[in-house]
Amino acid sequence: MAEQLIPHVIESLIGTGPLLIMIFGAMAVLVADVLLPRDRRPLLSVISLVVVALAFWDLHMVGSPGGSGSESYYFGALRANSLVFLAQNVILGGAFFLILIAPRYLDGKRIPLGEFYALLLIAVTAMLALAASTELLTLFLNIELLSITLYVLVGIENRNSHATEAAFKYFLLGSVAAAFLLFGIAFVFGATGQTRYDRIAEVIAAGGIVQPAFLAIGLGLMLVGFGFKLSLAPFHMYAPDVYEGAPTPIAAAVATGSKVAALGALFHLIELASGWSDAPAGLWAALYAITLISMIVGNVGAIIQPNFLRMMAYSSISHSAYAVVPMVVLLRRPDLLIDARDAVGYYMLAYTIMTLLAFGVATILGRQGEGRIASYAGLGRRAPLLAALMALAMLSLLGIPPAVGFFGKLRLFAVAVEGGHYWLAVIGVLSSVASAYYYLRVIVTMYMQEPAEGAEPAIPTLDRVNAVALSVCSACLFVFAIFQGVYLFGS
Amino acid sequence: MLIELIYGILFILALFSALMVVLSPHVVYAALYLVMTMVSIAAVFVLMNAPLAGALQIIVYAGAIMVLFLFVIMLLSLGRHEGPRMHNRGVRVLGGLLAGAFIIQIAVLYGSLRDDLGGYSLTNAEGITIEEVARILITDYLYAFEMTSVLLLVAVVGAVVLARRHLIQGAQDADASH
Amino acid sequence: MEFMLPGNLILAAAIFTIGVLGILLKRNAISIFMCVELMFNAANLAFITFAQSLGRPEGVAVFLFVITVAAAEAAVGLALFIKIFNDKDNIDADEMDMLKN
Repeated sequence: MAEQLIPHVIESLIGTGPLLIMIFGAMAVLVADVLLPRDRRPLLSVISLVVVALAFWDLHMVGSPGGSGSESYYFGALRANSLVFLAQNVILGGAFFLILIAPRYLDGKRIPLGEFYALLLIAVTAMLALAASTELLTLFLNIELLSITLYVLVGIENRNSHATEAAFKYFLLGSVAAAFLLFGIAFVFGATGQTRYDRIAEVIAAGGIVQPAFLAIGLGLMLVGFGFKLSLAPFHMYAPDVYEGAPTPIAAAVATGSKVAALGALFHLIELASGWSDAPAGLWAALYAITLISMIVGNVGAIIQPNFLRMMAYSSISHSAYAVVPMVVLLRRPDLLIDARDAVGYYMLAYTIMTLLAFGVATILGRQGEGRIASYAGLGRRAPLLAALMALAMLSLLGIPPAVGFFGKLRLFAVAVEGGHYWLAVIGVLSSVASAYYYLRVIVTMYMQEPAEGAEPAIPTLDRVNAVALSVCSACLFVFAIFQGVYLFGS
Repeated sequence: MLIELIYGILFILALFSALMVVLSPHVVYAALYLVMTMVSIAAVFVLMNAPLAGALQIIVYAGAIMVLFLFVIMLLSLGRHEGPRMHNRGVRVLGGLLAGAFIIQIAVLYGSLRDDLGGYSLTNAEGITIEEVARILITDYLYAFEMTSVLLLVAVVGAVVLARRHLIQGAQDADASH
Repeated sequence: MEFMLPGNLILAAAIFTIGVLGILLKRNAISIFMCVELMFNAANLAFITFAQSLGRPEGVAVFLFVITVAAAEAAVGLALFIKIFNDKDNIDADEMDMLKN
């Protein structure tokens, strides 16, 4: 036993090196916070950047088991495959971007820097691990670690009752969702006697399910927990409040990294469930219904929202729904696994780039960026670069061709068509068309309207670091689109 | 026969105290009923040959976590006018639907398990030994074991960050009023 | 002994339902969080019952982790309650509508 144990643990520690680097980095930030004199605190952001960069380097040193291969660490708790590798790259890249953008915002808000960066690094660790989770307890623990860290980060701002209230709502709804997830896990465990996905798959394949009804109940309850993390429709109530109340960089992390990680974890679970050939149709129908309701709720909510961040919250609900489309198909058509995986992976990348760009501009605008969409009036004249970047992000979210958003949606709906889910594809496209109203409204406000007389807020100047970060992010919007275009139409 | 009797009493006790957590108008009473639910569940664990789980349930759950609850209730001097109120028609309908769904689920559970226990059996399991559980902690659940330490770090840092400023302020206010 | 299996699962489902109903009916934040603890307890009961009846130690090990997570969550949550209480002097879930437009 011990002879096999120790080599496997060492292999796992090396294979999950980025996680170790991030955790030790978070502790280093906490220690540095105590040791550094008060006026040197800004160095903390540099330390965090170095930590994320190291983790990124290590991720590429370990590499991805190419093609459709997969590797498992910690006795099946974590998995490495192409989707996980992509998700982890996206998460680390997003974290790097946010840490670059955040310092000016944090200065204005009296946020304790040491705790902020340390907790942010731990949250990113939890995201990295969550995207790779292929074991029920590991899944639960990673979701809880991520959620608890985010509750603190959302409410970290002092004397801001909006932030505290948002954290409070996030906490209550998050705990309820965790309880649903846990109860679901209990029933999946009870039906199969296993918690590792690979072993559960073996039990299912061998027809050894003790009580099929329990497996169905369990998976259904787990969907509720995931619905919360992805802010899918009946469980989305917290999203607008959190996006508006939280510090904007944290709202961006909730909108991108946390969703990417949850999408990865959900994909592993759906992959497992798709191997259960006599699953009751109710499971598929439930996921189908959640997807449709999310598209409708997201669009209607975004159309009537006057506040920019709340509008982004509703728009992210419908984007989550698009990303779930291939999983709905996968439940019925296990043979489309590779297509669905690639489509979800690409959409994670596309969605993260365009959402981070929008949130990045909002972060730099500070108080103005958190306000009503009407407060963006005249931005096209007063801050041409910021307005142009925001317009790019909006067009890409809408799905205008040369940007990543278009290819992302194209691939998602292509999987739906390939799998025979025509209605899902049609409704998805219609939903995208409806979203033109609220994305274009932002652009129209920026370029065609002028702020009321005397109400022109000062425009913060862009420093060099922010300008470079935003430009690189917007370049990614096209670079990855070109790669995708060549890949799709070139061959 | 004796076991059946004890189990029946515990069953009713757990159900009753869980209901009272929701129904009692006073937060402190609700907390005490919650302790009662936890202790009844712990007794069920012991009855099921799982003394480890029973002991931990009492020590950590009913002991540590509930003391934390009572401490906060005391600190914030909560306690009056906290009964459930049917404040909203939508919530009432939703609650009714949910209760209905779960009653159906319970009926299905009972129906499927009454005659045929499938592969489940409580008699031939000798009870799970602590040794087996300990081995799992450092093999299959090694990752979870490591990550738990990070979780506790987050809880410590988070609790301090959230409550620090306010506790210090409260103490200063108290000093000032002397 | 065997009667405990359906009995426990029914008890778990019932306590879970009571917890969900409590969340919908209660208005006080601490009470809502107590209902969440009720739901966690229901899940624990299900875990231990399944572990015992399948003879698999995983269920008991999961129970250990759930207790730890619940403690961490309670610590953070209650700190949040203290913070919000100091801001507003009460923690009534329905009065939280500052963020709505």
